[in-house]
Amino acid sequence: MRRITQHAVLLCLLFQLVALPAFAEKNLSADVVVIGGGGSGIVAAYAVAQGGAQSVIVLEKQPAIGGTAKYAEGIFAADSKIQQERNILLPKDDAFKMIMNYSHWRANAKLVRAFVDKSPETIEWLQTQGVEFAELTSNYPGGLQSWHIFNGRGKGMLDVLTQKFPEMNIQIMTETPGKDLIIKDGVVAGVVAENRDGETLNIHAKAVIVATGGFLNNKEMMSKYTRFPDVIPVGNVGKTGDGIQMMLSADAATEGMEVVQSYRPGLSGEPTTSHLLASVRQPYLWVDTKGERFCDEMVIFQWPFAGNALERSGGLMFAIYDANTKKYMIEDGIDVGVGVMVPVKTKLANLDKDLQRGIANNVAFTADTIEGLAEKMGAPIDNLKETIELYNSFAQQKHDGQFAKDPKYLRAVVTPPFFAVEARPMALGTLGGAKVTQDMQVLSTQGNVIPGLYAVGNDAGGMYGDSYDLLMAGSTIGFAVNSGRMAAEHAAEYIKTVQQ
Amino acid sequence: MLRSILICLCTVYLIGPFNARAIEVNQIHRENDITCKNCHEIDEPEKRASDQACIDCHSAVPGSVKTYADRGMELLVNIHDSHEGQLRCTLCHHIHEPSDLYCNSCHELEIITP
Repeated sequence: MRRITQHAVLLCLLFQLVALPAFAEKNLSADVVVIGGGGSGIVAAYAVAQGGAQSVIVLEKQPAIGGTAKYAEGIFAADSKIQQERNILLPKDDAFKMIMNYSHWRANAKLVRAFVDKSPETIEWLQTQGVEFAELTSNYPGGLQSWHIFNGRGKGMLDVLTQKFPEMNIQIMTETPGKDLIIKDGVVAGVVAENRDGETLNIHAKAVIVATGGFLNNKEMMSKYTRFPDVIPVGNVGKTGDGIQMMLSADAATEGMEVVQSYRPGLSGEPTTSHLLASVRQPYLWVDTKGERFCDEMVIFQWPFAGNALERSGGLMFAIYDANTKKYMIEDGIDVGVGVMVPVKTKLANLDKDLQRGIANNVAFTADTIEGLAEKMGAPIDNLKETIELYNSFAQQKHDGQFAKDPKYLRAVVTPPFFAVEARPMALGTLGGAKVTQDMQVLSTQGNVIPGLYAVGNDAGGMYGDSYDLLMAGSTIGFAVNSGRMAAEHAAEYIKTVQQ
Repeated sequence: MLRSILICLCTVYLIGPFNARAIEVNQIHRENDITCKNCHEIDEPEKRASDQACIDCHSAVPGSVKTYADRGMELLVNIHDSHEGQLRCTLCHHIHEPSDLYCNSCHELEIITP
């Protein structure tokens, strides 16, 4: 028996040797490798080449570059020329203080200052490269006018920049994920990647910029680090925390890993332009599964508040409206827009049709009585009746005695048929990552800079306290672009000091 | 027990490499006598075929499909004019295994990918 086993083991080993294909391995080199070709990575690659890097390689896991930035509508800046030309006052000092106060000074103050100070100049830099802006706006009623809307959205910006890549000696490798950092004597000296043919690429470089976009699509990391792992991801897929994992292996410290980029509550499978979704995202009446209000519905203005309130009340809400309010949304238009895709005052012409679809999909409910509606929602009838009676009395008194909502959004629920539409917490990304300096250099768990390693965009932490800050419209793509430039400018100088 | 595991393992190792070599193309390419070399340039391919290999035969691609039919939101989109830019043909059109529409990693397009 023992001999047979030995023979078998030998045979196995022998066949394994024969069977294994000779995996090709290639050695490449570049001045700088950027891992991830989203907004921050593309800008970092462009800016570091502009700053003097002779050769740059951008590794992109997906078949096309752009990541979530493709869908960005506009970018934050404080005191830009575009703002000045429109008499919009948003001094950099004010923006800095607002961000720091919002974070209760948990944010990295030096990083926030560097970001805010860079932001107006970045608008001009983008314009110099050929990027155009369509308008300046805010993303909720009364919000700061900090949102510089890209012509052709984020993709428009990316197209302008990547067009010049060939002449700048920037090579994009798609379907080629970065796997590991190459570290020599404590200094980051390149990246191991794997291309679409399964070949291992050892890319030796003087500096590495990590820009893989956070970990929203990595369930395990979401469970480990965040407060509500079941949040519905919106936007680009494939954000699996590759860069953060690589940096953790290199002993990087982290910051703000629990901060998720909460989005407006919604339904999975409904497109952003859905009128059913737009009807949910109005500041009228929201209840939880107990049929009780759980927030001042104006949290939809700065929607991370909505995410927080909904998550703590269990993660399932219903927006409730009557035939009157439905008619108002269809004929007069909505009070709160859904970004620039469904702007404020849009008349929800498709709402009836979309409601039918919602009802068929069991996410929207309608009944001629509150009792009937509660039954369909699975909410306690008495609770819902009491909630609506109280809410209607607030509407009559023009004062929300419960959550102090602006009375102009107290729309009574009196005229049948009544409607209830489900919504759950959604998120656009994660916002924590490596702990960085104001030059986006990654710090180790010992508090020292890891030479040659930079983290940008949603792979870098330090911009937030406990929640996503929506005061400054365009802040996430703003941080992606500005941090990309900040890292690039430091890296361009750093690589001059490195012998390869 | 150990013995049977080992026998199984050996069988897998024995069959594995032969299977890898006997890789097959789909029916339509088989019927048109497409060989490895036609697409991969060599008889024992080491790399994916290039887009040019596809385009050499498929010079015209059909473009328009109706999407979102399941949701009552009919949109006419050109499936080959993706907002992702020019993608490689074999990302969706697989030759050695069933095809798989890349768009559907985010969207829900009800179309058949040949």
